[in-house]
Parts: sequence; structure tokens; C-alpha cells
Amino acid sequence: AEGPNTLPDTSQWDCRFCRFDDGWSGFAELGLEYAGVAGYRLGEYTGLRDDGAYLLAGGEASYSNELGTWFDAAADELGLLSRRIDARGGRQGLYELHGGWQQIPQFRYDSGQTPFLRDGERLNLPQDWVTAGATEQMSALNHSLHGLNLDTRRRRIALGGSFTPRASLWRFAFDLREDRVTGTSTLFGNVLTAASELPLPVDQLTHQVDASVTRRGERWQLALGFYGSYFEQDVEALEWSNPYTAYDGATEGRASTAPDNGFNQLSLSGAWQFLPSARLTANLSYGRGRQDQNYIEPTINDTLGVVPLPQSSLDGRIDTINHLVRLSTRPARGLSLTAQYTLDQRKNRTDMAEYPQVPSDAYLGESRINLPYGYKRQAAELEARYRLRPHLQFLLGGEAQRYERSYQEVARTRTTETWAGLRTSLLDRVDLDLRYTHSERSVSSRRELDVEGLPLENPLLRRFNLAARTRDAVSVSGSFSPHRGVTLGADFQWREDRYDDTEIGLTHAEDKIGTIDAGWTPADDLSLHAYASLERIESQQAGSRRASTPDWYGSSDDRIRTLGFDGRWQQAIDKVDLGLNYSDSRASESVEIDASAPAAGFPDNDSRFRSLRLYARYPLSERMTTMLGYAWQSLHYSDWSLDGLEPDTVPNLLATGTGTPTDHQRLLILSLRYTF
Amino acid sequence: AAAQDEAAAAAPAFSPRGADTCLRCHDDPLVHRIFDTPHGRRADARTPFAQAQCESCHGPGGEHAQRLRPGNPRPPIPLFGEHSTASVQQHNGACLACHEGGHRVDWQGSVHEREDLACVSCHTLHAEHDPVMSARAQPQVCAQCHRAVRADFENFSAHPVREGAMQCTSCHAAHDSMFASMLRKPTVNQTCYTCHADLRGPFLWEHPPVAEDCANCHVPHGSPRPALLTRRPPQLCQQCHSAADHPGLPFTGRGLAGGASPSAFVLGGSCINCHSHVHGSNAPSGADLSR
Repeated sequence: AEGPNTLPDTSQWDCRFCRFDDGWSGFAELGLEYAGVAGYRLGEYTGLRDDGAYLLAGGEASYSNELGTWFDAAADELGLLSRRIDARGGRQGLYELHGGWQQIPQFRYDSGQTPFLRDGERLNLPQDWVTAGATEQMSALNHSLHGLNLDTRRRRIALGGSFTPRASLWRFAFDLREDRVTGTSTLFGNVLTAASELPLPVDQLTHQVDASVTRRGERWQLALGFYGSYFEQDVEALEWSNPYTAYDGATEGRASTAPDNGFNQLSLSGAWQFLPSARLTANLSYGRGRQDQNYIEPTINDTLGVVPLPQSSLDGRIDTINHLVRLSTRPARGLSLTAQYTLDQRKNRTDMAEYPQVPSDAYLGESRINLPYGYKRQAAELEARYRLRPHLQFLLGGEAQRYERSYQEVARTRTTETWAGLRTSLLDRVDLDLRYTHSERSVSSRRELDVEGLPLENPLLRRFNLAARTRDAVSVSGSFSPHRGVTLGADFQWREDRYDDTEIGLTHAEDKIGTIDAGWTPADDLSLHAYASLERIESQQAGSRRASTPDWYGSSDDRIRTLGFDGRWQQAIDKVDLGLNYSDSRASESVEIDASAPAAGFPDNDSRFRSLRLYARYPLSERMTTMLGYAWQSLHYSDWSLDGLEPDTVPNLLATGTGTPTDHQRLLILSLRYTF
Repeated sequence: AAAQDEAAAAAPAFSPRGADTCLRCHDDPLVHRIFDTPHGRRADARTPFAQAQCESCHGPGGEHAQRLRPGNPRPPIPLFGEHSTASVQQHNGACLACHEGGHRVDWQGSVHEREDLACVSCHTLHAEHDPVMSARAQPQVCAQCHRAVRADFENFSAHPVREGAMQCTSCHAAHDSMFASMLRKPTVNQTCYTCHADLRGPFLWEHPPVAEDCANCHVPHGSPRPALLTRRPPQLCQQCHSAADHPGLPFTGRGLAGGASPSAFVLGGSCINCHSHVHGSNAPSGADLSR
């Protein structure tokens, strides 16, 4: 086809039948959601956590005029904690401004209990608290426990815009975002070998700015960008009273929280179509992260006297370098080649110093030197695709990667990866995509780390991200369209990682997943869709009690099944539109430990989430529509690390005892929508 | 001049009256929805309806719109028609003629381009709201191909995509990302820090695999374990820590709540019960990541 750029004489093209829709349009929706049964965890991201009525309010508004001025606004779930408002507008082709406000609640548990009483950044115990060596001996524990909800809210404000001067090839854009996260989480704190799960007040603020200026030529584009991110933490440390019998004066503990930090990044990206069939693109990014928050004292334990520090703050600095250069060509009919070079580097320029250690505020230990970890990853990739016939394409590619790391036992690894694939269409109705990938990672340089105070590791341990590894992966994807309106799709993906040189550590991992999809659209007003998937994730590892050869083995086996159904039928009965959505996800996780001696096993951890939504929409008038909906959700989760765990179950762990959620939620929804 | 005339004569013909020709037959509400979209705004000189109207995108429709002898099949519209024979590249070329700048600058050579994806594989143009641009509908569009990822989001522990609080494009750039997995930022960690800036550091005491790649311990989409972990502690930690004493011990069901000896190595946060600052610590005495 001739390119649409060749303009005809349009002087007689009046567009009389065109229904240009200037002015306002949109809808407003108001109603009630009644939660007959509500579950705390099921309301995790919506706020529908309690029984009762919730306001359902939202809407959309759009405006445009013949001058190209436009405005779009949307409000969603205004009556819920997950409320969200977005607005954007401008003069099309000249400028655009947008802004938004969003709240994301996250409800974890409402079943926790704690004896700790919060006073700012300090957690006290009740006055009548009696310390003991073990939780079951804490005589004041039971009557001191009070409820603890673990939830946070993220409130996000966003503002941005872009400006393209008329008849100009420049474009300017910016985005600003503020995220404030508040609420309560938990932090574990220990004194020697006795730990407590502590309520942690959360008050974090992050500002981000993203700005760019772009210049576009006929065959090239260049963009200069700046990204900045600045994190502030209102809770600078957490102090708590030690509920256990204190040794060596360790009656209190103090832990740091995430320090304030900032990151600035400049990026230059561009594209150059230097031949009709060849294009060069590149992105060069340079970033710098800083962190210089004042340290907390090495210990809160006054009996240890003053413990001097080499400096009052880290003055930490990370430089990031990210380069990516890609050449894409079509040198011959049907053949496309892509060559790519990648560099990712994290240069840790933080100074090293010797820091005295007061482990868990209990005693003066051996000093440690901080290690400024960094890495450099380089990869070169070449991929060729050849279309032998219109419906038959071959793929062949390879990548060589080199990873260098500082202050780790493996200085350098090399990975070579090759892949081949085939894509074909049969009888215009079946599409098939096959791909096989093989990769080998080798360790080219190991070293002994001679750093004072660093814990001695088992010399046979090979950490999985640093170990020699052989990986094979196969993916098969197909789709079939036997009739108009009917589509069937299926995927199978398999990946296996073998760590043949590893005696201690992860030795094997395998992941298999199969999915099927079916869609049927017998008419424009009726569509049905169903899907299902099965996944199995397995891994094996070996360990050693005495930092020697393997004397125990562990395995993990996850099985995950999902299925779902979605149907929409417009004007199903008279003028009534009907909709249905159902999903069911079930997972089981099995952990086994073979320690060459009779040992109690772990029960399977199971989770199941089911969701059903039904709705009927009926037009009361030309502009007014009513919607009646019903929603049901069910969550079951079992987790042996939490099930049965009460505050005093473990002698040296004062837990919040949240348990695991089993929730049901039933909602009845009635709303009116006015369209304008 | 003769050559130009010859070329003009050889070029496919446009319809006689543009959109008015098209809409005589295609008078369908679905078709008219184009006027509710930015493409239908004539005030912007760059839009289709400020230029060759329907044929800006669908290509010259002279042949398609011509009168036919009875029994003769109607030639297809060149682009974006039910029987259009143009290739994916030709279809995409029509979009890129206007949209190659900005976020699409790296489209050519990108993963989606190499996979022969058409712009209309994801975008619905004759709709007031393109589903792939909507927070709630976008994941369903992406899941048409990324079926395994959809299953991940159904897990007990998952980023809130199913709830509409996040979308695929919160982390991925579908058009132009040159970065691995089409991430918005150059690395996995830089992408994660856009929401989890508290974990960025640099910390006085760093945990090397954490600073290197969040995906060493977490999966990005969903997991049956809390915190989107790849595996469960203590086994997760013991894949990398096997010193003598407790890191090397096999922990079994004896340590469960109903077991013979309930253990802090198994219950609650397991290793995290003491080494709580697993993402890094800024406390001078936090070398063991406990402060």
C-alpha cells in the first residue's frame, strides 16, 4: 500500500457525515456497596475490610472543542480507601498537563497482639511487666496483650506535563510524584538469641522528578533526561524495652530504619536511521546515589560506656553507569539482524572504615570493616531472524555476558547463551512459536576474602547467583482460530537450572507452566472467555551442619493452578446487559528436609483465592442506567511459619501471633449511572 | 514532469470524498467512535482528520470504494481492514509515520517489534478509551499473550495489578524500552526503587545479592509465599549461607508450633527474627544485619 503520507487534494472533503463530538461528555455514578461479610485481608487493596455499607462514587468527564482544547477526568472508588482521581488536559499538539491522586491501602493482618506500647519511636512495656528468660515464663504477657493491626496506606500525588511548540521539533516533558506511606508494619528485634516482633510505625516520603527535552530530526531523535528520587524517613530508629531477662545491662534494644537517601540520574538517548534499513539506538545513563544520614549510637546499652565511631555518618555514594547500544538492520529481504551491547555498572564509592560492633546491644564484639560492594555487567548480543516464507520465520541468537563483582568470593563469571526458534502459521488458522534456549555460566575467578571479622563460610558453598550453572529452557506457544469469533491459545514453558559444581547450596531448580485460553464471540454483543494454567516450581539444595560435605538435603515443590471465566452479554434479556467473572487460584507449597535421620516433616502450605462477580445493567432512560451487582470472594491461606504461632509459642520469640487469614467477602452493589 | 505525472498515475487512488465516501457504507457506531478520540480532532494539524481523514490510516481507498460490476469482489482497504493483505510492518508503518517520536523512538528493534507485534495487537483505536491505556483493563490486554504472567498475579502474594492499583506499564515500557524485560529503568533494582526507595541505600552494611538484583530472592509478579519470595526461609537463606552452627543446620517440622521443639529458626520470620535488616543496615553495630 502507498504510504498514507502522500496527501490527496482534500479541498472537497467536507466530512459532512463525521460526527465530531465537541463539548462535554461522560458519566457520573453513585450507589452503595453493602458488605454482608467482609474480610480484612480481602480488603487489602480496596479497604472493604469491615461489614457494612460503603459509598460507591465515581465518574468520568471529557471535554473537547474545535480549537483542540481537551480535558479528561476520571474518579474511581471515591467511597473506598482505594480512591483515585486523575485529570489531564491541554491543547492537542501543543501542550498537555496531567495530575492525579491515588491511595493504595494495604491491610496485612488484624489479628496481631503485642504487649508493646508505642511512645513516638519508642516501644515500652507495661509498668507491671516481669521479664523472664522465655516467653512462657513472662507472667504479665497474657494480660498485657492488646490488638495490633498491620496496615499501611500509600498516598500518591502526581503532576506532569509536556509541551511541543508549534512547528517545532522540540518536546519538553516533566513528571513529579510524591508518595507518602504511613501505617504500621513489624520489625524483628533481638537481644542475644531472644527476639521480639515489634510494631514499627511507618512514615516514609518519596519525591520523584522525571524531566526530558527531546529534539527530533527527519531521521534521528535525541533526548536528554533527568530523573531524581529523594527518600525521607520520619521514623529514624526504633527503640524497645527488652521483654526478656537482661544480661550485661541489655535492658533495651535499638535498631535503625531505612536511611534518607537520594538518587540523581542523567540519561541521553537517541535513535538514528542512518540507512533506510538500518537504525542505531542508544541509551547512556549516569546516576549517583547518596546516603548520609547520621548514625544511631552503636548501642543503647549504657553499661558498655562510650563506643567511638570512625565517622558520624556514612557519606555513602553509589555511581551507576548504564549503557545500551543497539543496531537493527534488514540487510536482505526477509532477514533482520539485531546487535546489542549492554553495560550495567554499580560503582560503590563509599569509604571503608572499621566499626566497633555491639551485637544486639549486649556486648562489645569484634570490629568489622564495611565492604563497598559493586558490580559491572557487560553483555553483547546478536540475533538473526529470517523469514523463509510469509508464514515461516527462523530465529537464531546468542549472548556473551561477563559479570565482575567486588568484595565477593567470585570475582568474575562468564555466561554464554544461545537460542533458536521457529514461528509458523498453518492454513492461516494456526500460529505456532517454538523456542529453545541454552546457557552456560562459568566461574572464571574465585578468591579468598581476607577481611577481618567476616564470618567463615563453608568452603564448599556455591551461592546460586555466583555459581556455575547450566540452564535450558523451552517455550511453545500456539493459537488456533477454527472459526470466526473462536480463538484457542496454549503455552508451555519449561526452564531447568543445574548447578553441577555445587555441593552446598542450591543444586537444581525447575519451573514448568502450561496455560490454555479459549475465547468465543458468537455475536458482537456476546463474548465468552475462559483460561486455565498449571505451574510447578521445584528446587533442591544441600546443606552441611559442620561446614563440610553435604549431610542434609532440602527440596521445595510448588504447584499452582488457576482457572477463570469471563462473559459479557449485551442486551441479553430485553435491554439488560449481563456480565460474569470468576477466577480460582490454588497453590500448594511442599518443603521436605532429608537429614538422614527420622525427622518431622512440614505440612503443605496451601492458599486458595476465589472470586465471583455478577452484574446486570439496565437502562432506565436514555441517560440513566442502573446496575445491580453481586461479588463474592474467598481466601484461604495456611502457612506453617505462622499457623499456631502465639506470642508465647516459642521460648525465644515474642511473636505477634497473627496466624493466617481465612476470609470471605460478600458484596451487594446497587448504583445509578447518569451519562451526559 | 512527465515522470511525476507517471508516478502520480501509478499511485493508488484516494476516494472521491474522503470520510464522506467511507461513512456512506460504514455508518456504524463503532466506526464513529473515532471522533471521540484524539485522532478525530481536526484542530491538531497532525491528526488523521486534519489530513486524509479515514485514509490517513487505512490507506488510499479509491479502489475499495469504487463501483463494482455485479459479482466482482470488492478489493480490500489497504490497511486495518478485515481482508487487508498488508504485512505487520506495513500496518505499523502507518502508525509510526506519525508516532515514531517520543516514547516510540526505540520501537524498531525492540522485543515487541521483533516479535512481529502490530500496534493494533494492543491498541483499540475506534474507542473513546483504549483499554490498554486504562489502569483496570490494561492487564487483560497484556495477558492475551503473557498468559503465564496473568496466572502469577492470581497468587496469594502479588503486586496489586488484579486490583487495578498498578498496571503492567508501572514497571514495563511496551514500546521502547531497550532494557532487559522491557523495564522502564535500566536495571531491575532501579525499577523497584521507584516505589521502594527505602531499600535503595547505599547502606553501611550491604547484603550483596540484594544490592545487585532484587530478583535473587523475590519474583516480580506473584508467589504463593509472603513478600513475593522465590523460596521460603530458612531454606531460602540457606542456599547462600552454610557456616557452621545455625546457618548450616537442617530445620525440620520439629520446630513447628505443634512440633516437639517450636523454633525461632522455623517460625515467624525465621532467619529474619534476628537478621531483620536483610535489605541492608545503616546501624554501626548492624554488620550481622540485626540492627
